[in-house]
Amino acid sequence: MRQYFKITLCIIVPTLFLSVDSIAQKTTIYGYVFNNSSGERLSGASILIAGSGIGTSANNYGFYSISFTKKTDSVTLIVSYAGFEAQTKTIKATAENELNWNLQPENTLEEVVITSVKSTRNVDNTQMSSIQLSSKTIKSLPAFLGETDVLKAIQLLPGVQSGSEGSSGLYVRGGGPDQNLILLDGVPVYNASHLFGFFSVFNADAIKGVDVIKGGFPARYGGRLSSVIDVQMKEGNNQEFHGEGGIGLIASRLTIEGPLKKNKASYMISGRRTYADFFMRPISKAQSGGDTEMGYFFYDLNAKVNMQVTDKDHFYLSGYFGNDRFTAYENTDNANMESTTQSGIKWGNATAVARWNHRFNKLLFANFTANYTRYQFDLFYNENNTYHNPPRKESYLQKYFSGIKDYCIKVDFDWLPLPNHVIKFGAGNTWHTYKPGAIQAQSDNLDTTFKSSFINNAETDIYIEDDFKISDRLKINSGLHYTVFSVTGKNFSSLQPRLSVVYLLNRHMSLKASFVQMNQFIHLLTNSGLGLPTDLWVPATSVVPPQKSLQYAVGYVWNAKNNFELSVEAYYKGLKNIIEYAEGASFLSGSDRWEQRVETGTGKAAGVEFFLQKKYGKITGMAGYTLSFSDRTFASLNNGQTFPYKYDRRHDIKLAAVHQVNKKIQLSADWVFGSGAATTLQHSSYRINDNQVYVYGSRNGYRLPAYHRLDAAIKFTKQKKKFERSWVISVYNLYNRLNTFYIYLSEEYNPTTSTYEKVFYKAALFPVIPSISYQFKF
Amino acid sequence: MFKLFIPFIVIIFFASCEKKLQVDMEKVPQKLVLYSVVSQDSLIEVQVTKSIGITVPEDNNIGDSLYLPHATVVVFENEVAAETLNYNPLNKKFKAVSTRMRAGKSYRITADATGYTTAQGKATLLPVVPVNNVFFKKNARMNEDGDWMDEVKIVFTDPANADNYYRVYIKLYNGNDAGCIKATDIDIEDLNGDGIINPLGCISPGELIISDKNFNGLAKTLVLYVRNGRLVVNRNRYPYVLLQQISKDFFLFTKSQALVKNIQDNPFAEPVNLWTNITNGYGIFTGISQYSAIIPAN
Repeated sequence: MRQYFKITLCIIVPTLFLSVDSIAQKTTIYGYVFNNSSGERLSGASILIAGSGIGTSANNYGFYSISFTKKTDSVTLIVSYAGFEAQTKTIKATAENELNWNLQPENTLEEVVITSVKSTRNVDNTQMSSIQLSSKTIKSLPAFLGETDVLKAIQLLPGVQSGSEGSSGLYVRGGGPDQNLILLDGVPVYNASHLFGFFSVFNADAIKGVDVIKGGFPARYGGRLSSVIDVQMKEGNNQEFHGEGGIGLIASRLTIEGPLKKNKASYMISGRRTYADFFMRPISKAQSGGDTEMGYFFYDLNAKVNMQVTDKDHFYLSGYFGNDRFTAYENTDNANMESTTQSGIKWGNATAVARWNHRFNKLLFANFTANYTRYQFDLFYNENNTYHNPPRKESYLQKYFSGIKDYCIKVDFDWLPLPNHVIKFGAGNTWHTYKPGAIQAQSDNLDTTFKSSFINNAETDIYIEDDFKISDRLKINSGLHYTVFSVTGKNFSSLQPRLSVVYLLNRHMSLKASFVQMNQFIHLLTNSGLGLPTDLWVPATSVVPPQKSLQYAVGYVWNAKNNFELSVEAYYKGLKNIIEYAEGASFLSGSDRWEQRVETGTGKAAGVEFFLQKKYGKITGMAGYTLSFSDRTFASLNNGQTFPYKYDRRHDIKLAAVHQVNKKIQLSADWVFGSGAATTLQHSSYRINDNQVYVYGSRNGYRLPAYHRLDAAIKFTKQKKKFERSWVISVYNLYNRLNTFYIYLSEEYNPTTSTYEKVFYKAALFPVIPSISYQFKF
Repeated sequence: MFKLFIPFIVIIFFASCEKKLQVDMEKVPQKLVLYSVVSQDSLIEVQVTKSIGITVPEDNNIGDSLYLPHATVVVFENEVAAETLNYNPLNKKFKAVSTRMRAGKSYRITADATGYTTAQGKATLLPVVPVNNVFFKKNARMNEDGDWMDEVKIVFTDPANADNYYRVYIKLYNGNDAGCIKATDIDIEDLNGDGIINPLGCISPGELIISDKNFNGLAKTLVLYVRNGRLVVNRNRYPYVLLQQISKDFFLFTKSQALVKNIQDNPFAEPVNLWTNITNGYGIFTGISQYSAIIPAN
C-alpha cells in the first residue's frame, strides 16, 4: 500500500514542478457553461483553444478553468456539448478572463455540419469505460408499459447485463447487482427498484442525465467494485416556468420547474404515482363478496432548488422520496367469531442533499456536501378477533422492519494550479446505521421485540487525483483513494490506486488504458437478482471481509466523420471476497445469522466490448456487442471447482435506434440478444427413506435458451396553442418471444405408457405487451 | 407473514406463460444408494437402492423397482471382512447376523450389483457423551403468539481435542417427540431458513443439530423451549432428553436434508445436493451413540 502511495506521489509531485516554467506568461480563462434555454449548468462540456490542442472539460457544476501560455494578443475558444450547438468566441488574452457560455440546444431535425467543433471529449479524455446518457436519449427509447426507465436504458449499453426478464438490475462486467454505486445527485440509493425490480426509482422527467462508469474509475469514486451510475437531477429552469408530464397505463407523472429569481434561483418538483390500487381494490372486494380488499402502488417525489448567492457561491438543495406500498384488508364473520385482518408491506428510499459550491479563485473550486440517505422495509400484520360465545376479544399485531441509513459530509476540490494539471482532491465521512431486521409482536398478554442489534459504523474516504497532460498526445490520470471502515471494534482500511492513460493517435482517434483497484465494505444479501424489498445491506465483518477488485482495461476510440463514435475495449477483472448464498439459502432467509448463509470466494471476468454511437442527425442510435466470460470459485460450493457466474453471458448484442421522421413523428426501436444464462439442473433422482431426492449437476452447468427481444415505439407530437402534446404507442417484446424467467421440473402422466415423465418447463414472464401513454410539455 | 407475499407471487405466476423445454442432459452414470444409520450396539442394517436418470419414465411401481435384492453387501470391522449381509424382503434391507456397531471400532460396507460400480461407505461409532444435568422451568417465556413456553436446560461436557457433532431430542413420557422446539442458541444449526419471517421458528424433531466449534472441550448449556403443557409426568414416567453424538457426515447429511426440504418449490433458491459419504454412490453410512436423561418436570 505504501508503495502505491509513493508511486502516485512520484507521478503527481514532480510533474507539478516540471510545469513551473510555464507559470510566468500564463493566461487563464475561467467561467461556467450554461444551457441557454433553462439556465442549468452543463457538466462535462468541452472547452478548446482553437488550433492549439489545449482543452479542458467543465466539472460537474459547469465550472471550467483553462490556462495556457500567452503567444498572441487574442485567443479563440470553442465550447461544445452533446445535444447543443457548439460556440466559438475570440477574446483578448489578458492575465485573467472570466467567460461564461450559454449553449443553445440543438435542433435534431437539422444535420449539424459544424464538424470542426464537435466534442472530442470521448477521444481525448483520460476517462475510459464511461458513457453519458441524456434524459432526451433515455426518453426517446421504447418504454416498458409506457414507463421510461433510466436503468433499463443503461441495460442497453455494452458490458451491462440486465439479469432476469423485466428486471432493472444491473450486472456490469461480470459483477453483481450489489457492486454498483448508484448515486442520485451524489447520494447513494440503496434499493433503486420498484415493484420487485420491474421499474427503477428514477423518474425520467426529473432527470437531467446519467453517467455510467464501468471501469477506469477516477479516484474520487469508491465503495463499489463494478460500476458508478451517477444520476443527476434537473436543476430547474431559471429563465421561465415550464412543466411536463404524462398519463400512462400504470402511472402518471408531473414535473414543474421555474425561476424563483430569474437567472439566480430556480426550483424543480416532480412526482409520479402508479394507480393499480384504484383497480385492484374494487376488483378484489367484488370477487370476495366484500370481505377482502387489496391494493398496490408506488410513488416518487423529486424536488430541487438552487440559488446563485454570489458570483462565487451557489447553493443546491435536493431530495428524493419514494415508496412502494401493498395493503390488504380481510373481514371474516361467522357464527363463532368476527375477525378483521389488516396487513401491509411498505418499502422505499429517501435521500436529501445540501450542497454549497464555492469558487475561491480562478484556479480553485470547492464543493461542500452534507447528505442523508435511507432505505427501509416495513411489514405489518394486525388481527382483531371478537368471539361470540363466550364473548371475548383478542388482538395480535406483528411488525417487521429492516433497512440502512447514512449521514455523510464531504468536501471536494478542483484545483488547476498549472496549465497541464487538473487536480481533484477531497475527503468525506459517512455514518452508516444498518438495521438487519427486527420483529415486534404484540398481543393481549405480550409485547416484545426480537431483533438483531442495529450496527453503527463510520467510513472515512480521502482521495487525490491528477489529470496531467504530458504532451499534446499523452495524458494520464493518476490517483489514490484511501478508505477506513470501522465496524464493531474492527478497522478495515485500503489504499486504492487508480491510473488511466490516453494517447491521441490523431484528433479523432486515441488509445486508452487503465488500472484500478476498488474496495467494497458492505455486502448485499440477495440471491434473486430481482431487486426484492427484503434485499439487505450488511457491513463487512471479520468472517465476511470487504470485497476487492482489480480491473485492467485497454481501449480504442474513434470519432468517425464527427458523427459516429466507435469504441472497443477489452478488460480483465479479478474479484476477491465476493459473496454467494450457500446451498439452500434463498431470498426468504433474511438477515438472521447471515454470515452462516453466505460463502466468500473469488471471481474473474474478462471481455471485449464494441460500441458504436450516432448522436447527431435525424437518425440516432447505438449498437453494442460484448464477448465476455465470468466465473466464480468458492471452496465450499461446487466441490471447490470454478463454475460460471449466473449472469455469465458469452455473447451480448444491443441495438437501439431513434428516427425523427419529422417534427410530428418519432420512431424508435431496440433489440437485445444475450446468450442463455447459466443455471443448475437436476440430472438424476433416488429415494431415501421413501423421500425422492434429486441429484444436481455442477453449479450453473446448464445454459438456458438465448434471450432476445424487440421493442418498438412511435411518438406523435403536436404543438398546441399553449402546450405540446404527444401520444406514445409502444410495444414490448414485439415478436412475442417467450424468454425464460425461471425453469422448473414437473411430472406428467403419460396414459399411453402408463408412466410418469419428468419434464422441464420454462416460465416466461412477459409476452408481447402493447401500451399507450399521453405526454405533454408546456 | 409469508402470505403477504403470496398475492405478488400469484400475480407473477398467473401472468407468466409456460412452455416445455428440451434440455440436453449430460449422460451421468447411475449409482447405488446405501442408507444405513445404526445405533450403538445394534446389528448393522443397510438399505440398497439405485438412482435413475431424471428423464427416465417412472411407473407406479417405481418405488419397488429401485430396490436391489440381488446386491452383495459386505461389512468390514476394523478393515477385516466380518460378514455378508442377508436380504430381508420384509423391510427390504440387508442385515448382519452378528456384526454390531461398537464404540471405538471402524466399519466399512461395500455393495455390488450388476451394472453398477461398487459403492462403499465408512463409519466409526463415537463414544457416548453423558448429560451432566437437566433443569426444567415452567412458564419461562412467551412465544410470539403470546403462548407460554417451558424451559429445558441441558448441560453436558464436550470432549476436548475433537470436532464433535450432536443431535438432541426432547421426548414425551411415552417416547413421542415433544413437537416444536424453540431456541435462540447460536450453536444450533439454523435449518429453517426463514429468519426474516420467523426468527424464532420451530425446530422439528430430528433437526436440532449442533457442532462444538464454539465450545470445544467445554461444558455446554443448551436452553430449549417447549410449549407449555407438553412436558408432563404420567404415572412416574418422565419426559426425557436424548443427546446423540453423531458423525460429521451425518451432521452434514441432516443439514442438507433440511435444506432440501426448505427449498422445495422455491425456484429462486440455490439448489442443494444431499450430503453423502458413499464413495461411487449416494446415501449415508453412520453410527449414532446416545445418552438419555429425564426432564424433572412437575
